[in-house]
Amino acid sequence: MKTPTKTRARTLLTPECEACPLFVNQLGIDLSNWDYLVALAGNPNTGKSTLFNRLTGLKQHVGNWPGKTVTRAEGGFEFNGKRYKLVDLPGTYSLLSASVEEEVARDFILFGHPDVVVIVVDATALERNLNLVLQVLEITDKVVVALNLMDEAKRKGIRVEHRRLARELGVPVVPIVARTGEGISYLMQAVEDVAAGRVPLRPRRVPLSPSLRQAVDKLAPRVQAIFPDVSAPRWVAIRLLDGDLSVEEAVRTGQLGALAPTSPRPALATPTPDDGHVHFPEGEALVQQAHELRRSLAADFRDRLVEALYAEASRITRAVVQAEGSRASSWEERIDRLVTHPVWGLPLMLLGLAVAFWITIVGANYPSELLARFLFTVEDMGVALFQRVGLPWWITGFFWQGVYRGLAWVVSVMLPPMAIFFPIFTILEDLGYLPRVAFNLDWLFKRVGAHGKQALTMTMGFGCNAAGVIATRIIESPRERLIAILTNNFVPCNGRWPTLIMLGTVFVAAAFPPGLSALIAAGSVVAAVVVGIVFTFLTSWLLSRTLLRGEASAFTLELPPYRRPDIKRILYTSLIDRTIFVLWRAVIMAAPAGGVIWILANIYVGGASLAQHIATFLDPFGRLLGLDGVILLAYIIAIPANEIVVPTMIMIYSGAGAMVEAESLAELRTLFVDQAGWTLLTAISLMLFAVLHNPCSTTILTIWKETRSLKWATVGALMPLSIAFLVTFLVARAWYLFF
Amino acid sequence: MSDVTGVLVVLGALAVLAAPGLLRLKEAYRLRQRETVEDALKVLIELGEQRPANMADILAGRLHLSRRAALRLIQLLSERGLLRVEDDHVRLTPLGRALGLHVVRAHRLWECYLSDDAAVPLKDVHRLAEKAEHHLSPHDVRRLEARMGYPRYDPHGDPIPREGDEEVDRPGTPLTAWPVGTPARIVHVEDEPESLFAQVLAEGLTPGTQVIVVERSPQGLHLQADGNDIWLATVVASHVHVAPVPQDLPQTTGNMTLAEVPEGMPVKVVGLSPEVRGLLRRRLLDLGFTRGAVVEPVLRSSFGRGDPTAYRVRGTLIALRREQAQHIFVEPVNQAHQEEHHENADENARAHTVNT
Ligand SMILES: Nc1nc2c(ncn2[C@@H]2O[C@H](COP(=O)(O)OP(=O)(O)OP(=O)(O)O)[C@@H](O)[C@H]2O)c(=O)[nH]1
Ligand SMILES: [Mg+2]
Repeated sequence: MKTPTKTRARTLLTPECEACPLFVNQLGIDLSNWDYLVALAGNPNTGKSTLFNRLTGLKQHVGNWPGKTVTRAEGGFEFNGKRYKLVDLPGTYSLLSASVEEEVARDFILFGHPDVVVIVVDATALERNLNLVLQVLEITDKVVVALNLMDEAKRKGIRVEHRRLARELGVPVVPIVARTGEGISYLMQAVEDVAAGRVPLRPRRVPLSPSLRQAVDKLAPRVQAIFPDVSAPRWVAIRLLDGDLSVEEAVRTGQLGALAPTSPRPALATPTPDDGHVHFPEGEALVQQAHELRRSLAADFRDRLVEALYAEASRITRAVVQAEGSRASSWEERIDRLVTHPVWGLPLMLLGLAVAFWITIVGANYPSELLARFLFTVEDMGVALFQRVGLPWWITGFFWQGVYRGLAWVVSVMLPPMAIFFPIFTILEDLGYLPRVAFNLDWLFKRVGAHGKQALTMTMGFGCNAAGVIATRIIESPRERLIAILTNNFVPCNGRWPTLIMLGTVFVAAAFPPGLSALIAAGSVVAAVVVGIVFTFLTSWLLSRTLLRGEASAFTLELPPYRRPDIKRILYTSLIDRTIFVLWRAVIMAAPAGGVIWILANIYVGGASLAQHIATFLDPFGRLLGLDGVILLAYIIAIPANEIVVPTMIMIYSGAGAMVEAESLAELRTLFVDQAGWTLLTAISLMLFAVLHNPCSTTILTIWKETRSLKWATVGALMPLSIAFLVTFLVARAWYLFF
Repeated sequence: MSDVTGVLVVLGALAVLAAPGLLRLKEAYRLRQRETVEDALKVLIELGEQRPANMADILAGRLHLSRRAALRLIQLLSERGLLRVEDDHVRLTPLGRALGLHVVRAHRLWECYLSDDAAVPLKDVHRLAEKAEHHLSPHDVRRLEARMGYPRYDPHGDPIPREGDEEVDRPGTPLTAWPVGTPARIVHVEDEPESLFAQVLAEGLTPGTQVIVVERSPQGLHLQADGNDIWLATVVASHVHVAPVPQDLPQTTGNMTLAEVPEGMPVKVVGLSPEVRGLLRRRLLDLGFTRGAVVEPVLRSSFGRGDPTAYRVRGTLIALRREQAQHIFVEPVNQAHQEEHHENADENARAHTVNT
């Protein structure tokens, strides 16, 4: 039953392609000596990054929500003996509005001199996508439209006559399925033809309203006269009338020639030394004329312009699209109704999280033990080898019990849970569930004066807080974006929730029968995450009332259609990418930390090691917070990377006592409870501290880079830390009161 | 002797320590003085062609100064060549007029920025702009103007003077003098006194809103705005200025907003309220909420009681908060001819485009 459908789906596009290989030679990041520069533009979430990855062999992150890509990426490939440089741009709805995240895309199309712009279009929402296509066609003729997601269109019974569409638009249109690579060789053929100037291009221009046309007719010839190289004088005129700052600037300084794709910048302007600015009187006059003409236009001519674009888009869509059945399939709507249900929506969300953690805990337990046993056998062998060679004890100790052991701990504690949690999480992402979470939680964000898309950046924080901070670029309002940046730390990143899982398993779950223990552990991790979310809302609320005073601004979020997750890619990216990532972090972070710990534990001053001295010194303070000195020391050593908190604690505790290795969770329990004297309070306080404390140094650096402000980076680091101190202190007070 | 030296040393040290503070004080004083000068120019600009004789009293009242300080201020202004004292009244020099217009421009553009981009509530923008207007250079103002998309009116409906303009005009008739039954568009709401301003805002009467006077009585007015019935006392109504609805704007009175549409009912967009401006307006248009588009609420966030709601528009699903949906005016689409209407709607938009 399944196979025939699949074959039909394939033959729909390119009958012969089942047999033909992809003639593309992926060059990855090798960008040398390219012949053509190709830009990938398009609405958000149309599969640009997927196509980019397929062509270059790189691993740009993809996800089923608008705004996944926020910076541009570059890669190379070879086709028919020509080398191409490919640029993946963030998605953009329009070239007219230019919000922060869309500016990257717009500026590249305008000033990046691409030889060909490939516009990736969602075949299931052609009308909206054509709005952008028509705008790009105003700027440049060198366009190829990639009609992507043809498999989804077929599934939904949407038929697009791509030949007719090509006639309507006046540029090549190639149907593709970026995910499987179908149609890509045809696409590349079209790109090559356009780049080499082999196809006649007759791009469609949108009819303008009479008053706007009059203004444009006055302005465009002057643009052409002053900048003969410019290929789109009409568009420049429209942008000048609209008051586009970057175009105005380019006209003023005489650098508008940069808009022409192939010509070098004309040296029209003469730099004047006195103020360092470039002056170009003719350009200045042109801008002035545009200002004058603008007054003759109706106040809402911009509205009319977009209306005209959409009217055209809608006319073309009606001509080329045949939809059978309803526009949205009914099961999608039913699922949407379920996940946003007043009673079931929220529990479902938490249940999903709990199930993900449960699978992780159950699945990671055994591989963790296996890995630990293996790695510590290697350590024993290494130590034996070093001793046989006759190296001094401190070399053996520093290398094997310090550096290597730190590394081994991080790998065995961190790797298995990550390798399981990440695929699960990415499946949810690819399915299109995350924007629904943002939709469900928006009312809460609105109450606290924040933005609903903060939910998306938080879910990115589950992976890595630094990535979550970068993802906040999808939030337009600067105030709300700062709130999202400063609070991202309250979702535990992958460096922290193994700590939570360990605590949940060793302490909370140990009190229950073994059959239930994994479930209870998962529950306690979810509880910790919920605490983090609660604090996200609390601090967002506080920030909106104090440092970042203001009201919630506008919120527009596209809910993408559900799509079948690409399991193969997910497994690949989460397993291979994650493994490499974790190993790399282990090498650069955990290994040096292991060395430091060994030194601290082995330099004796007055009968006790340095580590003991520091721990003893910190102990009273730790007790105040329900923790102890060793835990605080571990957190200080772990500032560069949260992954090494648990390994550090284990090493300091076991270094002090006789315990050599703790390979299983039961042994860990013995270590913490019997030797280090942990109580339930210690576990609870540690869980709270793990969720709330300061972000790692990478994240702090990212906050600084994203905000360009030392002040916000400091707030981002110290605010969570003070909250963590305050909360754990209060909990410890309350605990001592009752027990 | 040594006592004196000691005292001198201490005093000297104090002076050195206090010098930066004193300098800052002086700077602050200068800044205050500049602000006062600029505020005075603004008052003069706003008076326009009227040149009342009791200028000092007016300035004293508007700037909260004593009469003596106001007189000194006029003196200062004329010393700096910003105004001329003629017989019994004062007149702005070209320099003073240019500087004053710059400040008015800065003020109104900053208000636009605050309300459009920074999402500051309308009741606070005036107060904040009163501060910011003194810190913007002509270059800053030019950039701000471009960034805001060359708005013609500030959020109160006051016209924003262009660079090089000679004066500002205040359009509109007080609502109290507007004929009953003729649709009107609010162009200006007096932002002082604040209590009256707040009352007007609380009724949802912001510049750009379209209203119809249904009935006039000595106590007040009965209005209809965006489908709501509103009663205003005469004093309050006199602070609201209106003008005829421009030809190229969609008539929004009598239409419902997208926020009121029940789930599953397709409607047709009539237009966006003039209150949505700047980036948000462009974003909504780009997402396809243009005139004639067919929109259908399909998913209401049950936790927020329909806030946000997801709408199907042009084959995509877009979630909007209630504040945004309230600014999109719609009319019902006849269920039976839904598809046909969908086609006609865009034809209409095209036809309209050609007409304007
Ligand atoms: N079924 C199907 N899914 C696809 C295809 N191409 C991309 N996708 C999925 O569509 C989603 C979006 O893909 P991306 O490549 O991240 O889209 P993008 O255009 O880069 O998105 P932004 O970076 O947000 O602008 C992912 O879940 C992809 O797996 C396709 O041809 N068929
Ligand atoms: Mg992308």
